[in-house]
Amino acid sequence: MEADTPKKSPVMLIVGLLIAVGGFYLFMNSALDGGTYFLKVEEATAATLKPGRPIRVKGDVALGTYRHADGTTIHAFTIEGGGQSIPIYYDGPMPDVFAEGREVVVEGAIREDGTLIASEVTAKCPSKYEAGVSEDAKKQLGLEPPTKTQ
Amino acid sequence: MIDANSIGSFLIYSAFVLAIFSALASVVGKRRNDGRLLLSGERAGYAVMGVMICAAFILINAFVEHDYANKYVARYSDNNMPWYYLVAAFWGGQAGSLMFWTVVLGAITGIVIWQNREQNRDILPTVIAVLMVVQVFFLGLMIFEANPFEQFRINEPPINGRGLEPLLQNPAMTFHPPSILSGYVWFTVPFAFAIAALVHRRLDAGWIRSTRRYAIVSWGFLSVGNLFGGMWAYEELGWGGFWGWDPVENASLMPWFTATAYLHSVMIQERRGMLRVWNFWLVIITYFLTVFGTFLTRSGLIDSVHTFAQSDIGGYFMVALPLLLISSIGVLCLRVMDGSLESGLLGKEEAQLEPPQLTPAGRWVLAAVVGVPLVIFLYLMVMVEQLGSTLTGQIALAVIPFILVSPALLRGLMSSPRVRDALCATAPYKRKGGHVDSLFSREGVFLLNNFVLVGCVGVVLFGTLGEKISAYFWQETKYTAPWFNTWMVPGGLALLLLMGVGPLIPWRKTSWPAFKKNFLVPLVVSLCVTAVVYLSNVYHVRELVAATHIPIGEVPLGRLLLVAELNGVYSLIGFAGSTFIIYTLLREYIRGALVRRRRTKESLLMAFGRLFVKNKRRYGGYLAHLGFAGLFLGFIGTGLKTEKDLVFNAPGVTQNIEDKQLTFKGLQQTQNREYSEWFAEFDVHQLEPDGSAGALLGTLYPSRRSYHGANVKLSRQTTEKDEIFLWKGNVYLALVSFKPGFKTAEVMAHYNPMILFMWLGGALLLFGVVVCLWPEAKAYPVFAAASRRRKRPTPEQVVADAGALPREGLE
Repeated sequence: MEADTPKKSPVMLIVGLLIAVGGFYLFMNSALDGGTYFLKVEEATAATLKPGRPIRVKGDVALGTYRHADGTTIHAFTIEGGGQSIPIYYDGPMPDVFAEGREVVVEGAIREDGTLIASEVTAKCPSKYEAGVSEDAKKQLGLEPPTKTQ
Repeated sequence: MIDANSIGSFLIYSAFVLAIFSALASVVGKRRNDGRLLLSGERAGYAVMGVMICAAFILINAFVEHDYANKYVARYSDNNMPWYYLVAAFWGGQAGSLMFWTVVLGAITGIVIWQNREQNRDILPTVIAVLMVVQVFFLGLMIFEANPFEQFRINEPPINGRGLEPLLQNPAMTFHPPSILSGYVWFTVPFAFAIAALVHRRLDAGWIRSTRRYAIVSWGFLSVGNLFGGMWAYEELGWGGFWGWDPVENASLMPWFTATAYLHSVMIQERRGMLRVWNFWLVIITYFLTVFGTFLTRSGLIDSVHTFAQSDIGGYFMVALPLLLISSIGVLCLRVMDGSLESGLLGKEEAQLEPPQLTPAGRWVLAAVVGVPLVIFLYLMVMVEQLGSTLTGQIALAVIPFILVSPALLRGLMSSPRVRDALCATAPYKRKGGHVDSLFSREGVFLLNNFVLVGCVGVVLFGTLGEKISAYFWQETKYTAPWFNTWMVPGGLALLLLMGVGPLIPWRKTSWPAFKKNFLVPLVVSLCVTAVVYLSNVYHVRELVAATHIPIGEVPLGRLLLVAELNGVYSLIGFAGSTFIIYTLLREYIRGALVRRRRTKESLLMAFGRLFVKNKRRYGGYLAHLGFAGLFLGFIGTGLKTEKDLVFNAPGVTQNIEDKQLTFKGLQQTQNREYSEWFAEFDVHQLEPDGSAGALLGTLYPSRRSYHGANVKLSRQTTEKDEIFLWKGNVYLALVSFKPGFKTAEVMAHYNPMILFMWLGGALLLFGVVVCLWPEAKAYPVFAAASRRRKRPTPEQVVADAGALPREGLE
């Protein structure tokens, strides 16, 4: 902040600027490229995403696509929206309110073959709870049994 | 009919009117130099305090007496709640939280007026005015949107209330909201003094000294409040961790960062007279962030675990926040431009000089700096419907950075003599205050610490609002814990290392021999400890370090940080830093005590105790640092924790987590009026190296509760964890599911290394704050004055004082 320091060495100024610019570059990169994208089904199929990039896709579970092997936690289904669809594979506890035709939010990464390996599935439930509580909040508050805590 | 609730409402309305009067009387009185008006402004301030405290008692009484005619009481309590949760239900909802804010602010206003009845007379009216404007805003919110005394418009009130949300019925949650809110409210005082100091050009460190305690109290409350919040998340939310980078947690963390920066940088101003603009800026930003935090919690702008608090008061904040920021930064800009802040101190000679004047061009520049953002925001507020939320958001987000950096930009402009002469009509003041001569000095380290802290705020702010920012500018993206950690873990470690260096390094500059004397031994000790940690592979640190993988070349540079698995390396740095801090601070204490014993011939223990009495700020501050070292051990532990989903198919089944063995004993059920609860019982044994079970460490009863009240909104089922506290690491069990008929249970088992140090560190930190705050009998003119029992000032004296130069307390 001391703008008028009498003997400010230009070296320090340049080093400081370089650090600032470099930091800003790294930060903006992580801001643009990090985090979890929120996408609709049609956006997810249209986008060119790097394999492994975490995304969160919202769509309806297509009727007649849900398969589940008894005694395992492996589920497969397809979500659709905007005329597009994505096959989902998921290993983990399914929310109680999950059903075909319902809207779900799937978090995971798309593979090169276009299937999505989900790490988490959240389902919109008919308004059992008061409005204004997000799916996220409910899950974190333990409405669905705690799965993998992060 | 007159009843308690009507009286409560009446009190709130009266406080509103009194606060408006107090603000107006103070401003007009100061303008006209009218002592009677000033005095009545002060008295109206006291009256607000009294009125709000009475109102608070009425509300508490309504809860304790189950007065369900009151909507708020009926909404947030029921007949079954114990008395302490009834009292805590006061701040269980929005109206009560706002009320809590106004009550605390009212009480603080009273304290401020009383404390300053003999000092700071010339700026006190403005201080009162600022406090009262804030008070009016929050009282207005209560009156127009959320009155806790609102009654049902029916003859028969309900016979029972809906009760407090079960998740909030937790001791940590009882203290978390009031601590955070108090932290927010106490910081109003430094803010008000800063604004008053700017308005009246009292730009020496006087306002800082007068409000240091308020800032420390605020900081202490914020620290403790955040810790309680973490404790709540740890116990109730089943995160198994204490920090999830939830938007509302972040909201209370951000002002904490800037308040920490402030507490450190004011030391430089007091000591060396520099960083004046920076300190004003930090106060303004901290206060802005506290109000912003309230807004985030209450508006539901961002989804969070706190969404049960959301409501429609967001609009008021949308108006208030830009006004607050622009007006306070605007005053700061004025003082930067007229050169007052260059001199920084209104010594006697400068007070006699005529006040600086801007040239017409200067006024235009200032008007542009303040007016352009103001006009833009007003335009956005009016046009938000037509523009749509995206464009509004884009414009608002683009303008805010310019407001934030405008003081620095102006400062840079003014450093050129030609620009200065064009903008400012009066001759420049003589510049006072030092410079940072070397980075390797205490002020250099403090400055770095400030930058890191402000950087942390930037990251957290971006991540918190990222959902919106990204949606406005590129692709809607949610920033979750991993993203935060990639930035905040290195940031935290940088703070840890600076915290180690800060107390050891001398002011101005450090010489090589001094460096060797202070740093060599601790450096060697901490490196040795780190080496031991590494070699013994405790908490699998060595395996983690070996697994470190920095994928240079495989991914773009910008994503490097995001995929680098540096957990092991980070924890080693953390161990080194924490050991360094603990070692050096203990050495400081022992050295201090030894020196004291030699000088005063006291016993060592006595000398040690007296250290704290004699130099509270220093040794209390060290305690807070020690507390932080403990907190960091807990943070490191989070990175090293293990968690396992364990299924127990029958009683007697054993499972292992780390070197502990869990034996399932069975399920039990209990009932009470509010919930039924199923417990699973587990014995925890130490696992010997040969695989056999060793000593019994304890029995854990994780459970699940089913609430059956009418209250239950978010959670009929809550998970109640149970854990064993051990020095090395806690075993934490959360019951995921169970089948009573089959006697099976599934638990999420966590092994949380060193988490105990975190809670101990938190306690030490709080103790440090108390030591810093402990009153010093002689140093405070207030107490001396109170003991003399002087007469109350007459209006004539107030007039005389109002124009007078700084007196005691502000020398």
